[in-house]
Amino acid sequence: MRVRSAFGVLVLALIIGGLTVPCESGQAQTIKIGHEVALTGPNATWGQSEANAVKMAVEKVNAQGGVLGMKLEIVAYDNRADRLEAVNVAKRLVEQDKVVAIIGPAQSGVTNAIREVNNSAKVPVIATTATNPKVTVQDNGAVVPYTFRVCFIDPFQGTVAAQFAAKDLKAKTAAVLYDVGDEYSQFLAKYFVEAFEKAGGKITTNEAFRSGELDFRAQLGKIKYGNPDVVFVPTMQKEAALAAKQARDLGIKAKLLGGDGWGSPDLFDLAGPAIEGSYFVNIAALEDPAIQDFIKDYRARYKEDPVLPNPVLAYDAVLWLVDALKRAGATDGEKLKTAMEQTKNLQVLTGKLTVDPKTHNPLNKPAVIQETKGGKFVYVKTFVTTD
Amino acid sequence: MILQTIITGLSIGSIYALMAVGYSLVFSVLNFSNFAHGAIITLGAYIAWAIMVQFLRLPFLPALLLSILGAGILAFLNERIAYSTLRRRRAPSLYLMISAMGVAIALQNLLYATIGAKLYALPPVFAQDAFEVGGATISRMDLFAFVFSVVAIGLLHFGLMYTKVGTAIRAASHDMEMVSVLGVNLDVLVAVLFLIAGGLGGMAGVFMGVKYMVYPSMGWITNKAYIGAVIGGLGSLPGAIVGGMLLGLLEALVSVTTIGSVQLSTYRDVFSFGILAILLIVRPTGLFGRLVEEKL
Amino acid sequence: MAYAQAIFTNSAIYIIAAMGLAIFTGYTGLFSLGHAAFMAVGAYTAAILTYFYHWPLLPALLVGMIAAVLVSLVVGYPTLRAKLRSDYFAIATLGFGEALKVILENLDLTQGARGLPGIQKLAGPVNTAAWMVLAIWVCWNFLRSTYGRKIIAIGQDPVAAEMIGIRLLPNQMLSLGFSAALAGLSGGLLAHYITFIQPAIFSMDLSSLLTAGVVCGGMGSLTGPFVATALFVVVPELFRGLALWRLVLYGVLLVVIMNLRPKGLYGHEELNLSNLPKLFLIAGLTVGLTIGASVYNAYAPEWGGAPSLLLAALLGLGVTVAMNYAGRGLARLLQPVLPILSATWHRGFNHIVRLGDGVFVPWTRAAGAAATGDPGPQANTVAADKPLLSIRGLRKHFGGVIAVDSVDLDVWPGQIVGLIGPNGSGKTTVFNLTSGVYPIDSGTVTFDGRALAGQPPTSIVLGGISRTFQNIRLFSSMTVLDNVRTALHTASDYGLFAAFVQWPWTVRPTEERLRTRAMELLGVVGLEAYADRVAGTLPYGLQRKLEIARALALHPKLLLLDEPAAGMNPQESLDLVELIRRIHERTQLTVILIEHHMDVVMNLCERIAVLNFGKKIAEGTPDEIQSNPLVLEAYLGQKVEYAPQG
Repeated sequence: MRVRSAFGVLVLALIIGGLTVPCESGQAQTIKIGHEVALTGPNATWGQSEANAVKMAVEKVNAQGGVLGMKLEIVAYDNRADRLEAVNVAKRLVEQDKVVAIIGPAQSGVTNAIREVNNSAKVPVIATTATNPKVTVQDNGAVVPYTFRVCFIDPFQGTVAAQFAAKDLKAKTAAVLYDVGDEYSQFLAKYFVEAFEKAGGKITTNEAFRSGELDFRAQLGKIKYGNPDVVFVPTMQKEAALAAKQARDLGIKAKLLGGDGWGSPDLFDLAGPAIEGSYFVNIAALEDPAIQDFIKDYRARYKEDPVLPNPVLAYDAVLWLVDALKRAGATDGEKLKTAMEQTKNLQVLTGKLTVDPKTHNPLNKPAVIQETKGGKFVYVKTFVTTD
Repeated sequence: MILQTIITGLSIGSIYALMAVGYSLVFSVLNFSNFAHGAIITLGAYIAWAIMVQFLRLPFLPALLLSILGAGILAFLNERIAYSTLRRRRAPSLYLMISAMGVAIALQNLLYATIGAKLYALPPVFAQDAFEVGGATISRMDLFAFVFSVVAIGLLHFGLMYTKVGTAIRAASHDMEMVSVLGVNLDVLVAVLFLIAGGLGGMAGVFMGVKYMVYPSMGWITNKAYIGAVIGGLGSLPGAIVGGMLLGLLEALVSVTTIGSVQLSTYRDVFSFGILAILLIVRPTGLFGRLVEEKL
Repeated sequence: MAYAQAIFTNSAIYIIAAMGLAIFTGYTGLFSLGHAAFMAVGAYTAAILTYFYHWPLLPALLVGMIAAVLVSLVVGYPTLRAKLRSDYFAIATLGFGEALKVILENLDLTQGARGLPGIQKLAGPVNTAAWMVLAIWVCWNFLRSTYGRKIIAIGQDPVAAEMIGIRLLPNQMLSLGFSAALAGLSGGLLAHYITFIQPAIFSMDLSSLLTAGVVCGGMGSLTGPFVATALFVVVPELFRGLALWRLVLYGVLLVVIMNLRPKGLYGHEELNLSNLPKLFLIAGLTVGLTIGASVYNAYAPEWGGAPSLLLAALLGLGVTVAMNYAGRGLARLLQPVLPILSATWHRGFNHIVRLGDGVFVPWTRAAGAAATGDPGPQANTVAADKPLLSIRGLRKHFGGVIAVDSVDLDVWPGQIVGLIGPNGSGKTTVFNLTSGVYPIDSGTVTFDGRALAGQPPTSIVLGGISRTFQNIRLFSSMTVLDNVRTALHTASDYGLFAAFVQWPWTVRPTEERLRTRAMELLGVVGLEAYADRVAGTLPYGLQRKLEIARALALHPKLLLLDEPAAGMNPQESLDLVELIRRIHERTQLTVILIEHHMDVVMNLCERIAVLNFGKKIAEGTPDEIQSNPLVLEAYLGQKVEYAPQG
């Protein structure tokens, strides 16, 4: 028993020693920027690309001397595009890693989920492709103080899709199939319907399915019955692929139209030939002349094409942040936020960034239309809506 | 449109039916709900993916057969690891069910953790040809799946009726203990049972993979299969088939109905589970099931 | 620090829900797979009230709990009433959980899939911890009360529970409602802690976490689920990279526990001095893993993988071992101290209670006056001019087998009647029909002047018929005393709220009375010395006696004993005969006895009826029966005369 007690004491001493040592941490010589990104899961194709682009951007900035005399450091965690996980990640970034700002998330729902965390901690968040208007503007019209975005918003996207359908595809009637479990899909469908009807078109039927469902043939059967010229499917690529396959199976010949959720290369793997000859709205396209330098650098470094538009937007977000840091002269949350709101005509990859302080949305963002042709996304045109 | 809806319903229903048969088969003999069936179905789909896309690039038919075999083996291993000890100990069916749940959760998340949640599609088997029948369309794949399932279930029926093993299984579904007393090796019987059930599950998984896509939480669609099996009567094979078909039809019909301004398609699952609840309450034996009384 | 707080608060929230599930699944034995749905109801209700209507937290939480209870009753009533077997019930709960999610996704009020972001952060570590402690205290009190015992009895053996007059449906619904209330509380706190909710949060994953916590922690315990749920929340946080493997681990654990150790960590036992070291070991493992992990993370970049892993393993092991010894040491230390502390506490508590007597007792005297009188053993007050039990033309068939075929039998008050016959002759079926377990096909059974047909078994039992079973049906995980005490539930008069807080002025006197009465009954069968033993650990013969004691607790007018001497040796059979005789003399109890031990039957019974293939073939005194050729034929087969050859 004595031997055991002695051993116990020795072990305790070791533990106490072990506990005290790891507690020292190096002095902060870097400005930490958090990155909420989906590195695994169905959105991983975009997320991985985003993470790569952010790395590129940060390295470039550091190579040019960093910001405020310090280097930038990226702290990225995988949130799997899961809302609960994103909250955990946000808490970690804010409380443990003490980041000055967070790039991402890429999904509207996820950005909404972390709102309380980053706003109460006064840490600005720049969502990359969260397009739902409520992400930055609350129901009562007030702006969410510390949430920004670098992409366009869905009312714009819906209008673009509707006007493209009405004018370019010459569609007089349209049907809609949306995901009732995803606010992005739900609202994008709503904006499309409003804009299409405004442009003189008629909606034959507006069908919905639950998130996670795989079989829409009942709803598509109803759509086929209404004989629309165009079918708008504002969902992510997985549901779009299923819908396309099943629509063609049912003999629906109408053109299919979608939003930026389609833009993942695995759309072709999942849909096969069914998705050929369809169109969708996107934020950026590979052929866009303005971003060719970036694409070249990315290809050289990572030996593959970036999965647009996330990497481009994330890159822009970093540039925006760096510029704001310089103007604020400090990493303090409030000062940073004010500086971000005052951004005007900042040159970024996708044009000149001017921010509307009342909505935290970038002004004058263009949209591109892409076609699915030959297993690739082909640029059709850049759209400017007529309001 | 009604015809199309019915055809769609039957097409989904036939997949439910196929899944429900495997599930009911195990229930009829071992008297517990094998929640791990969904995981086996998912693994069947993944095996097909591995064979057709990732590693071997074999054509459809061999891949299908290999998946059936693979899923059967996995189901057999599942039984060995998770159920056989409990079975020998005559543990209450609740314990078996919890163990099955554990397997289901573990396998599904194992897929998430290893292969990842990326979606995979199996290459299309038939060209996008479809048949037109009276204004409605039936795809070739659907027809193939339907016919293949009918043949498989027919073979199963034949096997159960006319082979020694099949007769033993049927006897065991009435009285396991008696069967073992008569000299049948229960371990072998149960092994065969799970091989068959797993094979059917694997088949269902492959068809689902071709029709839709392959991803880790495919297994949850088997919740619907359970409902189908319960509707038809747990433990009854014709019941499983009828129940699965009925459920598919009901779901398709609900999906196209609009009451007032409310579209029911998004409430579809409420209807399915509502039917389940009502049936369990009003007629727990389902349409064809047997009532098993406990000797007091 | 803030991060640790977050982990702690999360654990507390889930523990509250796990406590609820422990009561429903662990104690009542009903497996709920969709429990997250009740959390969702509580969460959404509370959140809508604070978000849209600016209610303060406490009333919002309470309304959330009430909503969860109401929903659980609506769902529970049809499903429990149908007496579904356990896996049907589980599937039904699964379906309900999914259906609720769909409804939440579609309602405008709940803002559909978007959910409610921006809820005020009204729940923090302190108030959540307070709620958790309160929840555990209430659960603990509930389980020690009459209501708790009834629920545990149902979980142990529903048939036996009915046979001591416990109605299944209301008690199961009580258990469900209580557990839903706790889940609703947990949901409400969750909503106000993570400040946003969506239907997707209340998924199968969440239900699985709770289920795994209860199963692995051990059913029939509160400590077990507490520890297991805490572990399941804390450990994945330490190993963030392995987040996905967490669920794999739950699944594997479920399989392992079910197969190797169905009791789980703390099945059917609560924390006490003897299993305190186990708790410390588990805690030590967790802390050890934590320290090991952080050491590894801290040193791996500098020293490389292998050395830091070694150091981490050493430290982790060291912590575990140290905690283990600490636990043992603490237990040894507390052993003499604890009784003193507990005695002091009780003295102080009693003092305070007596102070309050002046205020509270008069109320309760007035309110509960009717029930305080306990009749105790008394002579049978049954009229002696007509049969107590009258069976006419009783018939029952199972499928094609006719188990009981037109049986007539009269049993007069105070008689001991034997019912014998070969195996399968329908004797137990007669008992089952009389006690209402099986419905009667045709014929009448009249007891004490009233027809029994159509009455539910619990009414029949409470009307004065008590029975024992061929295969002993005790509540094996309860103590001997509690087995009897549970049967005394009709003499308990305090309300549910009093039970929750163990209101000293109503609960204590009643419990004292019940304990005294139970000990008396144990005294009748000679089991007082075993009062605190777990019933399942008793030797077979004593278990039989306990069953009889339990049956007597209900003051039956008629006692049905089904093969009480089965498996007993001659000495034990003699003791049994003495026991039954003693009981009969004391109370003039009417007894019907099914037996195969002829010495018991012939010694005890005044009259004997003989059944064969469901028909009564003879009735009479022991002597008459012994010489009746039909009886001999039934038991021994046809008589064959040996004509001597030659």
